[in-house]
Amino acid sequence: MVVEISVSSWDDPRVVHFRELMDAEVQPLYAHLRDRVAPVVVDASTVVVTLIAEAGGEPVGTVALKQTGPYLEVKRLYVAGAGRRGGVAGELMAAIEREALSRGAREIFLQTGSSQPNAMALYERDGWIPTAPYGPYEGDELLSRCYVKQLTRPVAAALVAADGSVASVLGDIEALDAAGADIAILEDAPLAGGSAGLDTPMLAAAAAVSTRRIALAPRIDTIHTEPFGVAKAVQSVDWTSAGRAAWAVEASTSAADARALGRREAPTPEAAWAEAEAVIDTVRALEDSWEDDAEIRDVGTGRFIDKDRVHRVGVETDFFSVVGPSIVPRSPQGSVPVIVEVAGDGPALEVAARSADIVRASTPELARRVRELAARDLIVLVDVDPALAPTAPHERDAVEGVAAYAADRRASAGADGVVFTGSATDAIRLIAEPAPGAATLRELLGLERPASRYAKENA
Amino acid sequence: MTKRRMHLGAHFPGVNQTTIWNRPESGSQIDPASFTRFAQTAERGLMDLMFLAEGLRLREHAGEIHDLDVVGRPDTLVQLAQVARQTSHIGLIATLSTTFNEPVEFARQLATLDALSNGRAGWNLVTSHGAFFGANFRRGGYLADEDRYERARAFADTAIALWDAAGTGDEVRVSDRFFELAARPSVPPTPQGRPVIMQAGLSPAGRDIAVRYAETVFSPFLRGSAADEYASDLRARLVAAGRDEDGIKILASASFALGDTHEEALEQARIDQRDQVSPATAVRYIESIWGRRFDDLDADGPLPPLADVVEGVELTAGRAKMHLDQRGRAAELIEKAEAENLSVRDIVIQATTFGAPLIGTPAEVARIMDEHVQSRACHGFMLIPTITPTGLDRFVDEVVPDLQNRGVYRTEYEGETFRDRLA
Repeated sequence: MVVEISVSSWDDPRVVHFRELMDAEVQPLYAHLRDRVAPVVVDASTVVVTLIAEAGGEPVGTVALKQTGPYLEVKRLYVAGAGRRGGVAGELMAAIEREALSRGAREIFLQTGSSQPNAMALYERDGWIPTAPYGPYEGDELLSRCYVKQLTRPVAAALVAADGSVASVLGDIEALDAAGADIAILEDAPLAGGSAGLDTPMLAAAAAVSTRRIALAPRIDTIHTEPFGVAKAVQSVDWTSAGRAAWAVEASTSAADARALGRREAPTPEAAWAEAEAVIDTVRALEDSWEDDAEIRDVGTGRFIDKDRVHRVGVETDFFSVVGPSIVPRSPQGSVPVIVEVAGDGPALEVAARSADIVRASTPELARRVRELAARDLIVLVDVDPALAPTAPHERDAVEGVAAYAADRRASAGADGVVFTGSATDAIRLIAEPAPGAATLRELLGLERPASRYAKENA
Repeated sequence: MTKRRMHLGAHFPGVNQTTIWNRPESGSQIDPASFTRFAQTAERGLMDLMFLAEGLRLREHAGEIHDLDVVGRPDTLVQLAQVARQTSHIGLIATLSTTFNEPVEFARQLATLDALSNGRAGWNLVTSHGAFFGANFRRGGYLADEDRYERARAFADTAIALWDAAGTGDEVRVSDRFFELAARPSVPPTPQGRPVIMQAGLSPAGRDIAVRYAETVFSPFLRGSAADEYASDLRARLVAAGRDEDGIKILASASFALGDTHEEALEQARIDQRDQVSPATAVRYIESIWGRRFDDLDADGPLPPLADVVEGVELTAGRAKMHLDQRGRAAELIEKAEAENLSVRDIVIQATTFGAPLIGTPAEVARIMDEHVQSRACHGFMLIPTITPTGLDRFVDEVVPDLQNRGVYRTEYEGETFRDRLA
């Protein structure tokens, strides 16, 4: 059967007719629940696109896409008797996924019902993951059977505690790498000690030896460390990992940390984040201080470098000054992506919007706010605590539940990916087919490798 | 009587003015594969340790970045953390300044290295001069030169207290002229607890530091009366401090040139020296003594006249001061050059041959090294190859077997930790 699919409208009489046929078929299946589950009425203004399928000039099926809060959902898939053996449903679903993708959606949702096992089987064969009832269906576990499908691969990050036991922490990172995770954020212990923690840039370099593709993101305090030292550490992690480095900015306001270092009082959050942002800027200046082609090895003149392509940075801030250049040549990614973590309304939110390459937001609301505030391209990740994943009434195992919860969180955050805050290796395996071909983290995330600011000046 | 046993260290060539970068086999000084290759070769040669220097600022000459030598290196600790996972026996020594590091962060880093390497961490304790390096750090040139060693002692005492407190749950409290702090270790007890400590300075204050903390020193004296005097001075100081007189293993700085015959080795040494001292390097060396630029000086011509010396000008920044008496040093070079009819480049080659390198066939070099150890001029050597990363290959393949045959060098790694092997 040759099927042609085209864009129609929600009130196209042929579509309206199909919906009437569908209601006539489906409603009797749920007669026993009529008193207990209120039917959800579709508001026509929320329908994003309606498709119609025709075969030999005759309409044979329809499907629609609807924006329901943060959820883009597939609605009203119906295939008339003649098309049911002809693969029309599959073609309509493929077409509606393309429509969703072209609108920037990263995942789509749908709701079907507990009395339609054939429909559920169709979706599950087609890569849909059971998820807990979402949005308008939340709480309805009698009738609703909900699914989510990832249209784009999410960026999958995970927190790893640098907990002091080398074998266990390296084992955790290696397991994440094998599962296809993209980024491991290495959580540091307080400088004041007391809880276990290895030095995170060193741990990252060690982990680079026994992992293949995961990016390693040490979390580094910017208040009690030297900006020059932070730059050389992150640049060196980038070198040792061949471009798989990122770094997560910490701005310690802990009195215990301040007492442990003994150099200064603990700053307020506002002051700490102002200083952290100055450190981010300084690290980037130092990363630029060697142009890519600074090393020339020119035997004729005896020059190893072209000194005009290695620059002092001359950074002067309210907090510190650094003359530069870095001692480390420009690293594979040029500038190592900066992760700013946002957990509330504090000053980190603005620094994230202004200065981060990657933002980790603790909630979907914060994720949306930071993207709005930034008004520029940046990678936004939202936290997913696997322990909080709700159970879908029809899910087959807990791993699926975590994967669906992650997709749900990403959708409601409008995020590029997720940060698992608890153990989720199996769920990562399910959602994160390793992306082939990307050598560096910037390549994986589609972040351009920036030119050195000094190279621009010379050009 | 059993022979005294020799210890060997391997200095990664990389950023060093003796590193030759102009040959086809001269590899990258920044590619992590170079560090891996070098460390694994040193470990194949059963060496005690691999040594990395620390970078605080790029060297400058006449106010500009020095561009004639290899430059650009990774963070010492990050690089060694990687090497730790690619080797299993060799000690890993990180040079770290007590002037521009802070003891709490530093102690965690060294403990991390000991944990990652399963007991192979080492620290080369150095101090730094103030303002030039300080310009890259929060506190600038905050420390007077004469206070460098006092801070070094306070720093080392604090770090040691933190290492010793691992696993006890105790808080380390320090209140002295340099530090006012209270912290607990965050790394659980590691195989060595304290890393092996190395020291390199020759001043009385530096020697005091060595006797107080070090288990090994990096000495510039390969042989002769200077080596003997240094070794006997250290022994006397150790005994006075109640330590074993061999409690510090003296590793003498040793570059080397090998050949199938003695003549071939001499020729190799000559070629190496010319590669190390290019015409531009020779001119720059003269500039640093004369205290001024010579933009048109011909390296194959004669030295400039003594009258051109501008005293009191330190053109080179970022390495140890070289010439306290510029005019005297210039006069010395002029006299020698005139007597032997040497060009600028020739005289600089002579002037920059640090100590007498080990030159000869593998058997000759092994014999000389053995003699130095048996005569107690040193306990071993810090080998400084000229080529990154393959400069150690021939030594490992041809000299090490000779040393083993002479019964002066291990045939397999003993013990569990770096400290065990150095003992």
